[in-house]
Amino acid sequence: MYRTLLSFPIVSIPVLIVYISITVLVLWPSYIYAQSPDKEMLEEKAQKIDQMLMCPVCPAESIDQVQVEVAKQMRLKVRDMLGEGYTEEEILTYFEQRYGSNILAAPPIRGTMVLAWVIPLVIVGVMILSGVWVLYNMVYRKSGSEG
Amino acid sequence: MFADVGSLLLWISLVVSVYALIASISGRLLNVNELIVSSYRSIYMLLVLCVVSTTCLVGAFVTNDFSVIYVAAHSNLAMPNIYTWVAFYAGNEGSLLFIATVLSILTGLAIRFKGNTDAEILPFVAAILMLVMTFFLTVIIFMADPFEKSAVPVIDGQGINPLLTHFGMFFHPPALMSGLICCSIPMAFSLAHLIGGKYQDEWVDQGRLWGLVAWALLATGLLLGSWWAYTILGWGGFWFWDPVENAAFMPWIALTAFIHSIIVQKRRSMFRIWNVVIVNMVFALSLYGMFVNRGGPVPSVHSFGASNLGWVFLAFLCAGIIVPFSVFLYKLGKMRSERSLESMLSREAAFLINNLLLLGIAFVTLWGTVYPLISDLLFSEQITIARPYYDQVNGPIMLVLLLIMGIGPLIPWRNSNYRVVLIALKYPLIVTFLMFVVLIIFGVTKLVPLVSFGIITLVATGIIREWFNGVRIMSSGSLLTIPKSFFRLIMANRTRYGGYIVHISVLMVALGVVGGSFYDQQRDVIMQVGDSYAISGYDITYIGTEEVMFPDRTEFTSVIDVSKNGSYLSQMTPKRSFYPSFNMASTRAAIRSTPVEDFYVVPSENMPDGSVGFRFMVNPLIWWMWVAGPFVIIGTLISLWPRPGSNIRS
Repeated sequence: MYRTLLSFPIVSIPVLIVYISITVLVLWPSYIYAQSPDKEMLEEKAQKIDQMLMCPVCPAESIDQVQVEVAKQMRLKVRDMLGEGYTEEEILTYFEQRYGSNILAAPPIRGTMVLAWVIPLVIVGVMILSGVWVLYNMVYRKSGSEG
Repeated sequence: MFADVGSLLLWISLVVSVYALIASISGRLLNVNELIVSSYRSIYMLLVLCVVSTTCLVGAFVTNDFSVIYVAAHSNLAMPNIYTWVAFYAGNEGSLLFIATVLSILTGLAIRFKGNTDAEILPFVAAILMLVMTFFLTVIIFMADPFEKSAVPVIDGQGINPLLTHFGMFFHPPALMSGLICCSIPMAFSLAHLIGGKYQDEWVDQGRLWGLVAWALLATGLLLGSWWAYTILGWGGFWFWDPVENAAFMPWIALTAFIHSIIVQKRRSMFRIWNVVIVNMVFALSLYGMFVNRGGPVPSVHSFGASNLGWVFLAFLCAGIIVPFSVFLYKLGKMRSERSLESMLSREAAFLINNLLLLGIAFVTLWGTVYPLISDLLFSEQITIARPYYDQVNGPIMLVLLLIMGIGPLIPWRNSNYRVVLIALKYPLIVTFLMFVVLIIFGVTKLVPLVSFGIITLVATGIIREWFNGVRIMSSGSLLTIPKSFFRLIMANRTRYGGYIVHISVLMVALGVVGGSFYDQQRDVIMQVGDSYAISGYDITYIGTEEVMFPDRTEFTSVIDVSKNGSYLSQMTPKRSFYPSFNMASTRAAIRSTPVEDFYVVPSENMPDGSVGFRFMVNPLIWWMWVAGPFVIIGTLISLWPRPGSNIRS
């Protein structure tokens, strides 16, 4: 049993070092490669922005998803602005100023939006902690209480 | 003619359903067996009445009886008869009739195949389900009558919503509606046992059975819905956390928690209180799902039947939460699990963590759907909660869940130690590490996909290892061939191995989601006849567009030639139809699907000069999502398959 554990390749430190160095060696060139900008990159960026903007006239869809006139105009505007050198943030601010923060798929987390994010994180956190606590109690104090 | 008969049958159904409700309860309380038997018979009769009434509505559609308002609103002379079935549930009235019919069928089955349910308890099950049934029938008759006649004669109807003319629509709405209403049945069994004073594990078998049926129905419905969105909505995605998608997703997630924790009660008589809580939550979420679909207050692409039914459903939703939970709280003192958890590192603990994570996802999703309403009501502020919120909050939870799905089944029941788990994980971890290296060599360097693929590999190898070991044990010392011992292995523990098959299908879906979300290539291009375009190795030449006029629509069929890396693949014909009466276009993507990637093309615009705006997409691994569907069903069937003459309980 114990021998099996020792032969476990993950735990052996020299093997781990070999693995890490392989990973780094392989990762490095692709990282550098990814840095080279080109025209395709601009379109990728534009699509990312499209997905961050809601269509003002359609229910619950981003401008990337729909073919109504206003969405097409907005997509063109996004590409124009990117071509002129605006950053993603500036473009999103531009639309926010014109349409209000509801145009953003992910509105800034301030005001009432704080609750939208905080409550689920708190609840999920509390749920998991209390779950672990209940488990712990059941095991170590044999209180007999249940989840 | 059909409409009059259908309408009459609905009234009779209501009377029968009220009778069955009263007869079952009074029969049980007064100890009159004849009354109970007659209530069961009324339930079977109700089934026939509802099915015939449904047939009448279909008949009204087939005979183009436009004097019926509902038929006129959802079909016309130009509609092919094959879409009758889809038009039938295109609006509120028909959907509700469909739900009522499914409920009558499921109730009939639940009563007829009662399993080991005590004869003292079954009348309560019948009464609870008949209460739900009476609600639906009342709403149908008084507020959403599909057979209502119009005062003025109508020559032709408005036609079917063009987005619904898709093969997936034959199954997606019925599967979801059936799944949602099927959630009432496990709740009814749990509640009936509480009311009847059975506080132990008596309801577990039937609860699990019907929970799994509802789960499989919802899973099928959700997958078909994604497929519909992928092929017809014309933007190349399959899921965007639309409020109505969420409404079906939440009960399914809660059911996933339930079908896991109920196994713990079945095997170890633990989690008794928890299971009742969770099955009540499933029921509440399924009511919420039906409420949102029936004119609920959220904007969505599914708002087919906006109406004033919202308030009635909201009231029923409140009752559906308050009543089961009140009974539960009242009886809480009498429920107690016999056993306690023995170790943090045990299958039971893994199941509990799985449950908490699943409910976490359900809550995050619920909050995202409901909070905009709360914000509007309390702070009169309109806010947007869209895809980024769900992706960022639910995404990580789902990844952890996926990991637990791989490790949990390897941990023994009751008690374990880290060494046992580590040994079980040895080969999966090695393979996963090799997978990391291979992925990185092939250029997968984004963190989330890398981690996801790693987890998928880990879970898959874990399952394969279990199968491999099982087959080896089965075939050693016997003369069984390997396929035969594999079959024997699955049959020997159906719950477990059926579950593994479903786990594999979950991995397939995960593969599709990760591939499609992180590595999709998308280009919107306007092309003249003869133009060419290249995207990730695919060369596209636009040949031309054929325009065909139909009575209800103009159909543009574009023809493109596609070749990959220089060799000719095929001709593809994406379609776009314009429906003047709806002022709406519906698209049909042309998709060339392979396990590696989908090549997806959809026309988004047809210009007067014959040029076409295309959206080209290359979506890796999406194919696996659709293949997962059959595995979900096969796995569930294996899990449910009864073992003749023996008790699985250990």
